[in-house]
Amino acid sequence: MPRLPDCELLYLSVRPENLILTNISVPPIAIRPSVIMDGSQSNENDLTERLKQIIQVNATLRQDLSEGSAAAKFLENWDALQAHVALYINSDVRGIPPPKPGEKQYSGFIQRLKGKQGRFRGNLSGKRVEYTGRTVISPDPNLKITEVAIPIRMARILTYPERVSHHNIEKLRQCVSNGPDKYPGARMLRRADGSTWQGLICFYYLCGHVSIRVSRKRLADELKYGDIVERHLEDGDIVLFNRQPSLHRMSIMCHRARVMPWRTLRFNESVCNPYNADFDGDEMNMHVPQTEEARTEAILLMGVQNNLCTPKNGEILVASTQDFLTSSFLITRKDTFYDRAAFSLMCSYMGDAMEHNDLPTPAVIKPVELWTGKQLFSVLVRPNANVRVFLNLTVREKNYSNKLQENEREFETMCPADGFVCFRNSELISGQLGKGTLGNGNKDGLYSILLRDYKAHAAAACMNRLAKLSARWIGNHGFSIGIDDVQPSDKLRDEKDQKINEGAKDCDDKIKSYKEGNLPPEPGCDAAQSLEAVITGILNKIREETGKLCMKALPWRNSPLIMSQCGSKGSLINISQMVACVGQQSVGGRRAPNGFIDRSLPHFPRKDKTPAAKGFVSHSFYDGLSATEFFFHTMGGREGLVDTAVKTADTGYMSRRLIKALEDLFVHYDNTVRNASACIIQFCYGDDGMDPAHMEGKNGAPLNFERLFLKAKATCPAGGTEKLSPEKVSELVESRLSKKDMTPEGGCSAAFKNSLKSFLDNYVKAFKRTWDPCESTEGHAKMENSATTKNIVLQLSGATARQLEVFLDTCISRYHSKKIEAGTAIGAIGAQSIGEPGTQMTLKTFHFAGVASMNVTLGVPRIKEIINGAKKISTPIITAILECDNNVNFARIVRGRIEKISLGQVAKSIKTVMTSRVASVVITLDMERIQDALLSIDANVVRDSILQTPRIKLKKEHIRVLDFKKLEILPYESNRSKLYHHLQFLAKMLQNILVKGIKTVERAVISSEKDKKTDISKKYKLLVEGTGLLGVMGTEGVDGRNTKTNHIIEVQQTLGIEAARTCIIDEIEYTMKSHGMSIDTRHMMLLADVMTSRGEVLGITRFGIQKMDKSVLMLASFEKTADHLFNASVNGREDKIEGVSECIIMGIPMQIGTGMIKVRQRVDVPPMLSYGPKPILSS
Amino acid sequence: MAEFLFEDIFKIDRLNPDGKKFDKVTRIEAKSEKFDMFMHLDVGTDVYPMNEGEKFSMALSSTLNEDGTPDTGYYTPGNRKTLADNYEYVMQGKLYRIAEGSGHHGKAEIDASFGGLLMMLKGDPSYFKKYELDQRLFLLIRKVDLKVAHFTKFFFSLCGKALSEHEDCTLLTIIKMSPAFVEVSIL
Repeated sequence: MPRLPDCELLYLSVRPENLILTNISVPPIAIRPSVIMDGSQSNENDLTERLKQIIQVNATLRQDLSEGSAAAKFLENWDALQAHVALYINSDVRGIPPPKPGEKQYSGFIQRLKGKQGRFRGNLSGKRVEYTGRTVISPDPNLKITEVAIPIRMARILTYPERVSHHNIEKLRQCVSNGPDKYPGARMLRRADGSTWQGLICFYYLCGHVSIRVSRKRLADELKYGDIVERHLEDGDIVLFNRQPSLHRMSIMCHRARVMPWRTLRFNESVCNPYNADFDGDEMNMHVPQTEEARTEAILLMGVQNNLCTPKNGEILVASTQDFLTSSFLITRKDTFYDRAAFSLMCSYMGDAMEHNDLPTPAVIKPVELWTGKQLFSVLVRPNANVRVFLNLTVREKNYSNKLQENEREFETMCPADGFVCFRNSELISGQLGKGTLGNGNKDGLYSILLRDYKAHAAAACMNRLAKLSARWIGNHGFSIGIDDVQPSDKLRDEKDQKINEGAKDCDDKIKSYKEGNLPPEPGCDAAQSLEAVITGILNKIREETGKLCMKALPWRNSPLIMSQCGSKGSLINISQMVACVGQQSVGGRRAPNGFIDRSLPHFPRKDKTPAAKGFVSHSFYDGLSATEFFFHTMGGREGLVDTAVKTADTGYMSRRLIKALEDLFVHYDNTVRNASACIIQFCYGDDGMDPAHMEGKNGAPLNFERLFLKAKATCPAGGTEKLSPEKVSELVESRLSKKDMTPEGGCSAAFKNSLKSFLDNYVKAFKRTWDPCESTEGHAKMENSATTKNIVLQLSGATARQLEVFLDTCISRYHSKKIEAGTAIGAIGAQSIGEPGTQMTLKTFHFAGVASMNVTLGVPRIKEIINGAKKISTPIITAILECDNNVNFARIVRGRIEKISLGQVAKSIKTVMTSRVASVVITLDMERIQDALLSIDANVVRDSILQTPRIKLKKEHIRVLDFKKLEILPYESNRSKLYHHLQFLAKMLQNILVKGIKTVERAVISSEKDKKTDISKKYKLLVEGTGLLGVMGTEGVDGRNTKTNHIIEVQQTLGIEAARTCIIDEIEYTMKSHGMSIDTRHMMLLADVMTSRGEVLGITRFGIQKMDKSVLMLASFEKTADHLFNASVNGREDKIEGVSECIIMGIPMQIGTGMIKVRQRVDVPPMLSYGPKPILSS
Repeated sequence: MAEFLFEDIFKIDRLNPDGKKFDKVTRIEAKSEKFDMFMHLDVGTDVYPMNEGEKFSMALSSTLNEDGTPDTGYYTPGNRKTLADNYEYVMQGKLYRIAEGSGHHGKAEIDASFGGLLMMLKGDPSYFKKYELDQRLFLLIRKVDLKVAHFTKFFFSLCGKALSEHEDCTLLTIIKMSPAFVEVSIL
C-alpha cells in the first residue's frame, strides 16, 4: 500500500491498522533454552512458559468460539489471551493485576532488554572480553611507574599472538617447545597455511578427520616465518590496567608487563592516585591487547607516561605519595648530614647500578667532609653531567612562614623553618621537600615542571629514582608510630585544660546573656540562632587553639607531626584529636540534635545548651571518651557513613547521565565541537582551542610566564654579554610579537597575545622604575656610584637579548603545542571531569558570604540541581548589587523595598468597629516602626496595595483614608445578619495583604564585605532569598546590570539563554570551588553549551537528553528502553550509527579520535585493454 | 697565592634570630668589622660549635687552589695544600641570588646556599661587583680570639666524646686534620 499523507501527518511509518498484532513472534530455542535438570526433569525458559499459556488460552478460546458457548465465557478467555500476549511482550504491563504472591512472574521481552543487566546495558553496551586477569594488588617501589608486575601464573594463561619473523624465531621456538605450562611457553600455534594447534597440550595434528601425533619439539623445529605463536606474556608486553570505579580516563592506563613470581599484581605506589587504589585488599583488572595496532594505540594514548596529568585541570596526578614524601622530607631537613659512605650509599640506592652518578663536592669540607640531604636531591634530579635537565622552580611549602622579615620583605629562601623550596639549575638551594613540591595536585611542583620543560620521560625517571631511594632509605631509617607519639606532656595537658575551661566559661557567659535576652543578634538570625552561631565559633576556636598548642609542644621527631607537615598523611586536626581534644561533633551541620524532649541525651538537664550537652568532646582519643561523648561521636560518625553511601549512588547516576549527554562530542579538524550528527555545539573549543590537560598557568591559562622567564634567565647565563635597557626590551618584544606565528592567521588567539604582552609590559615597567633613578643621577657628582648601581640594576632585573629571545620562543612554541588535537573526545573528558570530583564532595551546606543564617545548598545536591536544570531549587538566592554600596541606610531602604511586608507587620491595630450606624474595619499604622525600618508606607500606600491585591472584592469606594496613618474599610457585604462574620473575615484577611515588596521573596539580608586591613565594613549588598529576579532588578536603588541569581531557569526566563549559559558555568565553578576543587572552565563551558545550545535550558535528564537529537539506540541504552524502541518502530526512525553508544552496540569502531580518519587510496582507473580484432574463425 | 673574593672579621650578635628550629644547624647573625657587613649564616654547629659574642674571620673564595686556578666543579680531594688549610670550617656552595637594596642608598645583598645551609650577606653594593650569579663559592671560617681555655674545653669535649665512642673515628680525624686548631691553641 502506498504511504498516504495522513500517515506522515501522524508521524507514522506504517498504516495504523498494522499496529494491531495478528501474529506473534516465536523465537527459536536458542533464545529460550530449556535447562535439563538432573534426571528427566527440564526447566523451561520463561518465554516458553508464557507461550505455553498463550497456546492454552488460544485453544480454549477457539473451542469456545466453535462450540458457540455463552458470550460471557468466551469474552473472559478473550481478555485472558489479550493479557497473556501483552505479558509475553512486557511482563509488567499496566492494567493487568500483578501476580499473586506465590505465583512466579515470568519475564517478557521487555524485561530482557531493560535495566542494568538487560540486553542493552548489560550485553550490548558492555561486552565480556577474553585475555583479562584480576587479582589483589600490592605495592612495589622497585618497579618503574610505567610497569606492572604480573604473576607468573597469570602470564602463563594470558597470551599474545606474535608473528614469527627473522628477529624472534629463536625465542618463539623456545616458547613452542616449552608448551603451555612451562614459562615462557605458548598456548597455540597458527601456521601460515591455516592449520592450528589448540592448546599445544595434545600434540595432534588435526588434518581433516585424521589426527596425527606431532611432538612439540617437531612443531618448534618446523616453525616458519609468518606463523603466529600465541606465546605467554613476557616482560615488556603491553597491558591495560584498570581499577573500578572507572571514574575518569586515568582509571585505565597502559603499563608494560613485568612477569614476576608470587600472586599479586604489583605497581609503583606513585600510580596509586589516578586509580585511587590502596593496598587494603583492592583488586584490579588487566587486559592484553591482541594486535600490534591496538598495542601502539594503547601505549601512545593510554600509557602512564602520557597520562601524568589530569585533563580535569592540568594538575599532575601521578606523583610521589605517602612514604616517598616522608622520606624526602626527612632527607632534605636542614640538619641532616651524611659522611662519604652514607652519601654514596644513598646515591647508589637511586638507580639499579645502571646509572652513573657524579659525586658532588661536599657542602662542609672542613672539619669533616659532610654532604647534606639537599645535595642528594640535586643528584637525584640530575645524576650526572650528561643529563641535560636544568630544573628551576620555587614552591612555598606548608611550613613556610608568611611572616615578614625585619625589613618588611618576605623571607623566601631564608625562611627560618626552611619552607621555601628553590631549585636552581637542578640544584636544591633551600627548602624541605614535601607534598607541595613532590605531591600530586599542583601545577608548579617538581614533577609538573619536569614534565612541562623536559617531557614525561624526565619526570617519570625522577619519580622512579625517588621511589627507589625512598623505599630503601626509609627501610633502614625506620619510621613508625607508638603510643608515646600521642601522649601529651603534663604541660600540654594543663594548657589544654585551661583553654577548654576558658572556652566553656565563654559559652556560659553567652548562654547567660541569651537567657537574659541581651545577646546581640547576628544579621538575619533570631536570638537562638545567634547563640548557636556564637557558641559554634567558640568551640571551633578551642579545637584550633589546642591543635596549635600540641603542634608547638610536639618534638620534631614526632611521627604524626612529620607526616602532617610533609603532607603524606593526616592533618593538624587529626593530631590534635589524638593528643589534645576531639572537638565539637556535628550532625547535619549543627550541634547534636535533641533526641529526647528538649535535650540531646537524658544525662543532661532539659534545655541545656552547654558545650558538653550538645556534643562537644573535650577529651582526646588518647584520654578516651566519656559515655556521652562517645555517643555523640558515633552520631557524627554515622552521618559520615550514611553520607558516603548515599553520595556514591547519587554521583554514579550523575556521571552516567553526563556521559550519555556528552559522549559523542569531539573536536573536528576545523576546531569546532560537534555532536554525532555534526551539529555545532562550540565554534572553538573553550573559546581558545587549548587542551586543558596541558594548561600550566593558574585558572586555566596556557602558560606561567613568570616561571618561564625565570627559567630562561637561569638557564641562559648572562656571561659577559650586554644586558638590554628597558627601551631595547620593548623594541625586541614588539618585533617578535609581530611575526607570523603570533597572528590570528598563524593560529594564535588574541587573548594569549595580550596576556604575553601585558606580562612583558609589566616587566618593563618594573624595570624602568628601578632604572630611572640611576639614569637621573648621572649628571650629579655621584657619577661613579650611580654607574655601579646601574650596573647592579642591570645585573638583577636586566635580561640579555638571548634570554629574552629564548623566553619568547619557548612561550610561543609551547603555546602552539598546547592546542587541542582534532578528534579528542572532549565531551567524555568533560563529563568525567565534572562527574569525578562529585565523588569526593561531602554533603555540606555552607554559610553564605559571611551571613550566618543564610545557607546555600552545595555539594552533590547542588551540582545535581544545576545539571538537571531544575525548575525549583532548594535555596534560590539573588545577589543584588546596590547603586550606592557604601551606605548601610541606603541598603536598608532598598531592603525595605524588596522584602515583603504584610499589613499585619506594620499595623498597630486592625480593629473591627460596629456601632449602630457604621460597621467597618479600622487600620492604624505603626508609624514609629515604619520610620525605624526606613519604609515609605502611609495610609495611601496601603490603600493602593489593597486595591492591587488580586481576587479581593474591595473597591475604591470601600476604602476611606482617614489620615496618613489611619484607614477605614467598609464591608461590601450588605446582608446585615452576616456582617459580623464578614468583618472578622476582612480583619483577618487584611493582615496578610502585601503592602510592600516582592511576593516571591522570602527575605532579604544585608551582607557587608569587610576590608581586610581596617576591619570596617566597606561594601554592602543585598542577599535576597527567593525568586523574582525581574522584580529585584527593577527595584529602585538596585544595580540591575550586576544583579545575579543562582536560579538558572529564572535567569533564562528573565535575561535569556546566553545569560543562562554564563550562570551555569559560574554556578558549577562556585560549587566546585567551595569544596576546594578546581576544574578547568572549558569543561564547564562545554556542559553549559550542550545544555543551552537548543535555545532553552535542557537538563541532563532523560527528558533533556531526548531533545538533544540523539539516536534511538543511544536513547534506548540510556533509559526507558522499551518506550524508545516502540516509538521508533511506530515512527519508522532510522539510525545512522554515528554516535559512540550506537557504534559500541553494533560492535564497529566509532568515529572519534583515531577512528575519525579513514585512509583512502587514489586508484588510477585501470587501463582499458584494447582488444585485438575478432578472430575470423572461432569454435 | 689566590686572592679571596672577600675577607673580614665578624662578631656573632645573635644565635637563631627567629627561634631554634634545628638541632645540628644554627643560624648566626653577625656583623663585620671592616666593611660593615651584615650576615645571616647557617653553620653546622654540631661539628663546629659557635657561640654568641665570638669573633671569627670569614673569607669567600671561588676556588680552594692555592695558585688561584679556577675550581673544576668536580670534587678531587687529596693531600694537596689548599687554602682551606688555614681555616677551621670550610663550606662549598653556590651563589644563587644577588639583590639590590631598596632605593638609592640601599644595601645590596648576596645569597648563597651551601647544600641547603644558607648565607645572606648584606652590605654596600660596591663590594659585590665581583660576584656572579651561579658562581661556585667556598666559605672559610676560623675563629680569631679563641681563648686557650675555651679551646681546651672544646678540645677535651671532642676528645672525651671521641674516646667514649671508639668507633667514631671522624672526630679524631677532625683533630688530626686541623693543624690550624693546634696553631691557634699554641697562640
